[in-house]
Amino acid sequence: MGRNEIRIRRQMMTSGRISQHRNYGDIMARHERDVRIKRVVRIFIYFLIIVFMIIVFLFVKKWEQRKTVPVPPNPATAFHSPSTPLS
Amino acid sequence: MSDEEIQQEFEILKRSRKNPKAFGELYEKYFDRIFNFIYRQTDDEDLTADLCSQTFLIALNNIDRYEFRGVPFSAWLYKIASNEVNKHYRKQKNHKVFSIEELKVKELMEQANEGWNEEMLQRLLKYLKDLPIDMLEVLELRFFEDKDFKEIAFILDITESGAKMRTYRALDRLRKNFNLKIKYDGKE
Repeated sequence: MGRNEIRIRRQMMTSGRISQHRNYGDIMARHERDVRIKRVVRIFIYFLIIVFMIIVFLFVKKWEQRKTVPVPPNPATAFHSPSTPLS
Repeated sequence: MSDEEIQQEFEILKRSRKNPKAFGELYEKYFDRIFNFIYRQTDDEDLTADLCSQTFLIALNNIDRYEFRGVPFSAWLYKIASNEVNKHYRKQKNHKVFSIEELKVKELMEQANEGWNEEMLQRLLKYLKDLPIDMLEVLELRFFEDKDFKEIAFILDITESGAKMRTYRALDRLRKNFNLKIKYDGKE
């Protein structure tokens, strides 16, 4: 069995017949639709990036707040430290 | 294609980036050639019309990405068309079809010792059937589309020397099998 199928055409495709398939209006309409879809997808991606950055920002802020909260002294070490004599 | 014509096309492309309607000029100019190029690889008029529209749509959608690489704009269209045809065959999982105009085949060959007849045509068909697809693609672009090796290399994403080598090998086989004189450059 051959690798390709070869056919011989006795007649060439005429220019008139080809021109029946020309439709630049359709191409333009599809192009405009594609441009709109691309724009929506781009806006959605920007939106996702912004949401992600806000989440990261809030997470970092919360983490920093937790870090700066003063830790109350342990009452056990305050009263029983051997190095600090009671006055 | 002269440098002036290439420059003119580049100006149209620049305008098309701002106003897609300007691309219509190139659409009108190249529609027939791209249609014939695809039709030769499908032998199906409706499918060809779809793939041809898809080719121009992809070109228009990606016009901002187009860069001049020393070949005419049409080479870019041929490249997109070739990719679309290959994509179609990958999806369908069919054998690739090459539908060749008889008149073109006759034009291509100079008769040598043998006369041109139906038996010879059948032998040629058998020969082409067994030829690897990459060689057929090069032959098609070289002798049916009149492309130079630089353009062929760009369209098929191969090196220029690779395009020359494939053409030479295919023609060498033809010469041996048919005792024919085939013009290597196809333009003499």
